[in-house]
Amino acid sequence: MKTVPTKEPVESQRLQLIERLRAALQALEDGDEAVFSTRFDALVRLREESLFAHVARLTRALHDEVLAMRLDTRLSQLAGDEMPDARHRLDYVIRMTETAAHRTLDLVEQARSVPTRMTQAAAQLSDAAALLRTTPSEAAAIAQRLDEVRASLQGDALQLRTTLSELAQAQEYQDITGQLIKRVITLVCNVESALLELLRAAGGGLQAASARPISALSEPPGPVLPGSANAAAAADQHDADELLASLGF
Amino acid sequence: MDKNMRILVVDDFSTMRRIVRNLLTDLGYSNITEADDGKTAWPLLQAGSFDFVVTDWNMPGMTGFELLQTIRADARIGKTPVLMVTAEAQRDQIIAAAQAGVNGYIIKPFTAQTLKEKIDKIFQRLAETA
Repeated sequence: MKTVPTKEPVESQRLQLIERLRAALQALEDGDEAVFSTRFDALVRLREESLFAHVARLTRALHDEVLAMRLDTRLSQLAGDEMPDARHRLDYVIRMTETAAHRTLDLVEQARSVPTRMTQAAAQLSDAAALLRTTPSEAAAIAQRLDEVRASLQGDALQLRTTLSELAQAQEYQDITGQLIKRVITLVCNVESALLELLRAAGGGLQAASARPISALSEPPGPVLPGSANAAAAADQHDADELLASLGF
Repeated sequence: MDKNMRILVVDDFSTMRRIVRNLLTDLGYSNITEADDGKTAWPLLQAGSFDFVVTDWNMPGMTGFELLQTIRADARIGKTPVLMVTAEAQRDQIIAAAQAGVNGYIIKPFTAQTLKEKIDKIFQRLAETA
C-alpha cells in the first residue's frame, strides 16, 4: 500500500494555499479583523495538517519497509518464542547428558564385581588342580569345585553381556542431543541473519568489535575448541608438562 | 605413598567427581571426600586434615584457582599438595597456577595413566624435599 503523494494533490494543495492567502490578505486590506483571524487560523491549520501528513507518510513508509522484510514478525518470534525454546532445549541436553553419564558410571561400577569374581574363579581352579595332583581320589569334591567355578563364570558372562549392551544403550542420548543442538544452531543462524538485516535496514555499517582481552584469572576461557582462535595459544598435556618443567616443576 | 591418605576432590560436575573418584579408587586410594566448588571445599579443608586436594579450575562460587590461593595463604594447611585437573589450557593460566603454588596440572580430557603419573610425581617430590 503506497502512500507517496502524487503530483496532483501537491498541485491542488498549492492552489488551495494561494487562494486562502489571497482571501486572508483581502480581509486584512478590508480591515475586517475577525474574518482575517479566521482565515489566518485556517491557513496555519492547513500547514500543520500537511506537516502531520508528511510525518505520517514517513512512518508508514518505514513500517512498510520493515513489513516487506518481515523483520518485525521474525524478530518478535525469535525473541518471544524461539529463544526460550532454545534455552529449554539446551537445558534438556544438559540433563540428558548428565543422566547418561551417571547411568554409564553406575553400570561400570556394577561391572567391577565381575573381574573380582573371575579372579576368585581362577583361584578356585588352581585349588582344584592342586587337589587333582595330590589326592585324585577326591574326584567328587574336585568335580563339585569345578561345577561351582562353571556356575560362577556363566553368571559373570551373563552379567557382562547385559552390562555391555546397557552401556551401549546409554549412549543413545547422543542422537537426541545432537538433533536438539542442531536446531539451536539453526536458531542462532536465524538470529544472526535477522540482526544483520536490521543493521542494514537501519543504515548502519558493521563495525568489528574490539578484541576482548582474556582476563586469565577472573574469567577463565574454558575448554579449548579445536580449530578456534584460542586453540593456537592452548597447551596440551605435553606442553603443560614442559612449561611446568621450565618453571622448575 | 600412603594409600589411606585423605583426598578432597573438588569439581562442580558430579560426573567428573565420580570419574576422578573411580580412578583414585583404581589406584588404591579409598579415603576420598567430594566438594562441588571452592566455597564448599574450604570449610571441609579447615575442619578435616586432608593430605591431598584434586581440584577443577572453573567453578561457580569459588574457583579452583582461588581455592589454591586461599590454601597457600593459610598458615595451618598452606602446604597441602594441590593437583589441578582442568579444561583450562592457556599457557598464561598454567603459569599463573604454577606461580600460585600448584603441585601438578592436568588438562582435561585426561587418562588414568596421566593421573597416576602426576600423583606419583607430586609425592615423590614431596618425599625428596621433606
